Amino acid sequence: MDKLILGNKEFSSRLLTGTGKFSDKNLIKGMLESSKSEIITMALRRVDFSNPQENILNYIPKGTTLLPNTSGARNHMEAIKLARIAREAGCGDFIKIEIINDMKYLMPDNEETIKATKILADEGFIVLPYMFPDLISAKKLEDAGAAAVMPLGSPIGSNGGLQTRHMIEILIENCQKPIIVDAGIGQPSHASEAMEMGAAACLVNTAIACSSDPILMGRAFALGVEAGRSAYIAKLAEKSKYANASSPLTGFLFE
Amino acid sequence: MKLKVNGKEEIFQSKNLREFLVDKGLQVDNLVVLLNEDVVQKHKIDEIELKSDDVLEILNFVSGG
Repeated sequence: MDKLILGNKEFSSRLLTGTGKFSDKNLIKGMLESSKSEIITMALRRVDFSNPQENILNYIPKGTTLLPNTSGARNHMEAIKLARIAREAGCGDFIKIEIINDMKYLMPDNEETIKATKILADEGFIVLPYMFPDLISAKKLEDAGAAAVMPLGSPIGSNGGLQTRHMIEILIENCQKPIIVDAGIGQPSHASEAMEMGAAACLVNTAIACSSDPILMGRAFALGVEAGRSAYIAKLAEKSKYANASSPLTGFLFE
Repeated sequence: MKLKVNGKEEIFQSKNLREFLVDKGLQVDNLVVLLNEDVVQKHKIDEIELKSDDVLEILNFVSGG
């Protein structure tokens, strides 16, 4: 497959994954191998002293690109603070901006996301902003220095697929930076569909982590993404309202 | 000694940052520690002596999408 370029880095895989919701964190390593994913997300939280959790970084193989998110941020200042902490803590320059105030649908705040993107891109971060697929916001994110634009397919964790399909198509057609479909991709065929449309990559967490076999599902998503990307490059054949025979319409035996 | 730790005021005896974290039952290597808004580099944790009214944020990386 052709390479995905984000910031100054090249990736062979066009599937980004997340560390959330695994029943057993030890599955993450196998999932990364089966899915061939090279980029994985994680979050930053206060330690719960009554139940300190082990650092998720201990479960991620070295060489994987870390994509800390700013979940928990309600405005651009909080997102910026989380991003800076993550970088100082040794996570590298990649940051997924996630700014959410709406706790029912977890809709991202595009306006605050644009502000955070500008400041963090100026500080040298490779900024991947999670956003609602609105063309004007996507353009502003590009202008602000985003390395990619990450529209939602449907609400986070819903597995609802590409409910925003047409809006994402508009982004793909009009944006220069890679479009990475993030949130809502619930099955490999959704990922394949996004890639056929021309999305540069997909970010999948819940659909893999909450399946009965995350390692096998990781492989299934890798195949879905690869199939969709190959189809996009090969260019889909034209659709027609009427039938077009695939076999010759002459020389029939019974004429 | 009065400290603000993860948003709550608490009284502690330990003065050294590493001792404080160990007393809390934490594995120091897994943590991201902010002292008065600044990230504390891991190799400096042994050197830092806490003062009254210091503000500590003790964080770690957790699962997330």
